[in-house]
Amino acid sequence: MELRRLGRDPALSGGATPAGRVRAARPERADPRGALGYPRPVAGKRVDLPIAPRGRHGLPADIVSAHQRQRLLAATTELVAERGYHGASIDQILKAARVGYVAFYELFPGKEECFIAAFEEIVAEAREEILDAVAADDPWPAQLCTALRTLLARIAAEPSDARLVLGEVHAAGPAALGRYEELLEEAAAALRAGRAYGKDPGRAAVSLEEANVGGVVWLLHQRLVGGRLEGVEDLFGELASVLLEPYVGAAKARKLISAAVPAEI
Amino acid sequence: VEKREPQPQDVAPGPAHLPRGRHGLPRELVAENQRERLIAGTIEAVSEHGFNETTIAAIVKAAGVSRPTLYVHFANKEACFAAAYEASFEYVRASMLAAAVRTEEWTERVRAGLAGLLAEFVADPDLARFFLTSPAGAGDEIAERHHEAMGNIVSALTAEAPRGAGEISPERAQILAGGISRLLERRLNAGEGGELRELLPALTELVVAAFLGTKKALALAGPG
Repeated sequence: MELRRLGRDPALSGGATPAGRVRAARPERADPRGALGYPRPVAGKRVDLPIAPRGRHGLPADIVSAHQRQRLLAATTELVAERGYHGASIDQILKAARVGYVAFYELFPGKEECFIAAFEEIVAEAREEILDAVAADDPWPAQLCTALRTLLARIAAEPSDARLVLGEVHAAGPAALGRYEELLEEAAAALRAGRAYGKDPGRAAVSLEEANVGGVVWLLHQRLVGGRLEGVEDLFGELASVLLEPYVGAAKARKLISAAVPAEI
Repeated sequence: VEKREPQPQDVAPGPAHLPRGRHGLPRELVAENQRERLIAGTIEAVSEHGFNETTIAAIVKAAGVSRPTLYVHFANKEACFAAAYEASFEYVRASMLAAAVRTEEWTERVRAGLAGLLAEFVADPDLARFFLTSPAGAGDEIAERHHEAMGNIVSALTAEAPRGAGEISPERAQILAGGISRLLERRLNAGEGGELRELLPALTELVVAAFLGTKKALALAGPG
């Protein structure tokens, strides 16, 4: 569904949904990859967030505000993914989120801060999923493989999230870029743990991990801007070999990777 | 690393203004000069403000041409950027290859090519910021072109890898391009343009390792 049709969509412009109840997905939203349809379920979490009834409803202000915030973040993600950071206006975000100006500016000073909040939330969810997937008692290379596979699966499943975090962040100003830099630093630090596992850890250039993280996001970004995110999980072998090789050597890296990938046929 | 002689296809660092008024210069020469100044002006403006914050006004001011003149040459900001990007890419690639051609041995050629690249970016930090940092925020089309161009630079840099080194996949070449860009960008962002040269050992190691493995790369290009 096109965004500009949203206002005329009877299902959206109709009465408010009682708070606390989740609306059933409408049939025309069956295609999850269709153009913007708000509110689109994201990661199975921000499912059709309820909108408070109009007028006096007696709902606690902080709950209403938290829901408005969630709707704004979901709408920002979808609009930015579809139109780019500069193409998505606050007006459009408010309309899609069904939040008013006053409520928006009580939550965020402006679009940039709203974008950063969406960025932070996507990153926090991905981090949580990755940490949940990784078994702490696995050896480091197995942990790395699990983390990488989880990340790639998430990117394939949530292309809008990926576009915001890996793509539009480059257009969203210095503060957003600062958050992105911190994220890459965090990933590089996690990779550096491989030095404790490897046999000859100390001699590689100190910038090795920064470079490898840069290489990973670069390749993902290429897929993203080329509109080829759907097969991104196929990059697992290539990426894992680059990330493991410095610490375990090429031969062992190959063994570890084939052990991590269920054999085909 | 000494700077090579400028080539005709180069981005002129600061094309000179032609005399004002009637000067009897051929029309094509004037147009050529204006176009070069617009390209240099785009690089200057975008490296300072970033693509999205750069206005046509900033470009014409930096270029020293009038707004109507800009529209004679380019339809919009995107077209200015694309032309400036292609000129920068040709220039950066040519500088790298000119530096690399002086030596025979592969690892040394890689090192010399990277040194040429670094010298160019040290000499012109605006060009470095424009070429390395701005494409990611300038729309999908430019970003895609930048990936392709950087892949091309990596292929040119690593051409004729020794036997036994094998070939690297296009994906591996992209990962390498991303690694090189990341290290350069981090130094640029930290405002340490002059210290870009210090990246030479780490970059050489990174590139050689993609072909020969980290162990061998450390032996050939590593510290000590």
